[in-house]
Amino acid sequence: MTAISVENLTQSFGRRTVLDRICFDVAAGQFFIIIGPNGSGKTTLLKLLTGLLSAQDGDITVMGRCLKDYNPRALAQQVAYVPQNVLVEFPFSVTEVVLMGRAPHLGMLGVETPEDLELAQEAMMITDIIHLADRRLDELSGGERQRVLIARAICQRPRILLLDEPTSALDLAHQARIMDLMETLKNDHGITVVMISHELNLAAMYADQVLVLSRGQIACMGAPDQVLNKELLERVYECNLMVDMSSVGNYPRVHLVPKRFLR
Amino acid sequence: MSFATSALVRRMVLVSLVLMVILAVVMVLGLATGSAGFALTPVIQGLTGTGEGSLLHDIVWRLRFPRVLLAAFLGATLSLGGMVFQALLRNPLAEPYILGISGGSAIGAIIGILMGLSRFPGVWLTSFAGSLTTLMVLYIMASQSARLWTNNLLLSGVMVNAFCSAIIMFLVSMTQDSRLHNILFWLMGDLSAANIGNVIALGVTVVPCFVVIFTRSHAMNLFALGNDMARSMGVNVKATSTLLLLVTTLMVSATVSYCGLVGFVGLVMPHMLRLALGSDHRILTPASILGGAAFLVICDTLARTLPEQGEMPVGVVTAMIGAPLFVYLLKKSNT
Repeated sequence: MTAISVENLTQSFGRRTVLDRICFDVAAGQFFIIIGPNGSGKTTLLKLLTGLLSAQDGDITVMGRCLKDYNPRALAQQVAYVPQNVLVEFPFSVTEVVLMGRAPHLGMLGVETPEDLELAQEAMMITDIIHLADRRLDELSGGERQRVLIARAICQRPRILLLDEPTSALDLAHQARIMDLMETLKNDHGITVVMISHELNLAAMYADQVLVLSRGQIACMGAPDQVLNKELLERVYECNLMVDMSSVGNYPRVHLVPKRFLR
Repeated sequence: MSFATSALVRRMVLVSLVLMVILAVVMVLGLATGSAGFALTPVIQGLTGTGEGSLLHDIVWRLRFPRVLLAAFLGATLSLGGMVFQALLRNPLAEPYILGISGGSAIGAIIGILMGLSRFPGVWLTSFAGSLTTLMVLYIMASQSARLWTNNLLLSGVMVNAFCSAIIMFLVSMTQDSRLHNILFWLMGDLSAANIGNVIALGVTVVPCFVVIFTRSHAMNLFALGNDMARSMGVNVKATSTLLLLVTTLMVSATVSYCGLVGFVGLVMPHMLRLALGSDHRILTPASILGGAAFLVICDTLARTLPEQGEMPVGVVTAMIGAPLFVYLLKKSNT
């Protein structure tokens, strides 16, 4: 089954073409990671998939239904979105923010039932923020805030989870924790995870499929050990790299090579 | 009802009840206070349906009661209007007064007064037209660059407000006759024209707006995480924000056409309530309505009684209490 299907997707801002006739499918229950240099169109692609931008040309199908045919609420029951960062002006508590994820499943006033509260507790437990439950969001560090937003998305109980660089503000331990968590969501709950990442090595360790975006086009797509090779990455990222296999498992490992070692 | 459900609902009811009691006490005190001295007896007699016919009874119930009621509606509307603008723009400094919406509505109202229209519905309609115009100008100015929407809107609002003030002063300086005093006094917030018919008409206009806003209170919570996030959690962002802006402009312009420009209530009350009660708009909406009403009834009572002769515009009192209070709160919340 296909969770997301993208056909001939084209998007330009003014004269600049950000995405140029992109086609790909994301199978249901996959961990799908999108990589690519800055400005390659990753965030635009993700915003199109969430329906935050409407496509200028091409079709997006989500869970077998055309994206245009969803109303915001119906889409929110299928797809949750975690942006790069969120500034919150008002001092909501962590629990309040996590509970907001229940919105597409609740009535107009969003009055929560005990089940909703349990789901929020569970989401806070697995993202390791349960000890922050009563703290105000604006008192937290960037990494803690990121985990709150992820907990909120989990609480939304989507079929598809879209994340824009969720690990960029996190230390190593929490990076591993979030990636492990995504793997668990995929394996135990059958959730399709689509993530933008700059961490090639995390993509290598966790992704079922990696999509390499370069200047608005797909440079390559496939399993990490096929996609993450020296030639392709050096061409796309325009820098010197070394790629070998990890001794931990059978996945490629990408290293930067500093200029001073190049002679 | 289950426990968690009633936790939110219980909090909503509890907060509303406490503020209702405060509002009731403040209204009784407002009714009992005036240039004829402080007297609780006629208020209590009136509430129990006795004592009709006495002069004091007439003063309290014919003169003061419509005015106290008007102050309550005014305060509720301005405070709630401030809260809605703050939620939509994600900026605790946003308020119809600061954004120039009230200014535009004042221009409309002055034109209406100069045309010799009646307060209702004539002046209200010109006032609504004026505020809608500024809202549209703001929208166009701010939407030129989508990225800094909130900041741009606030800056544009400051400019719109300055422009509106200039036009207001222009209109005032062109006016020579007795209408001048009327306009000037009304501009600073004048509640003395209250009569019970008009006040009820205002109530009928603003109370449905309160209800509409309350039904969108949870959506306003989601707006706090940004428009994109609200949308990704199922809110129809465009429809909801348009509805909220329209309804708020409608009720604010209705009060401006009656009472003139009263600032700071929309800034101070939601801010104070947010510090005390948290950010959940499902609680803040009823709290802003009741708290704003109580605050303005107090300010109006002071405006009526502080000067030894006559009275001062209530806008003077709200600004004199509101501005220092706001600075104090700002300082306190930053430490």
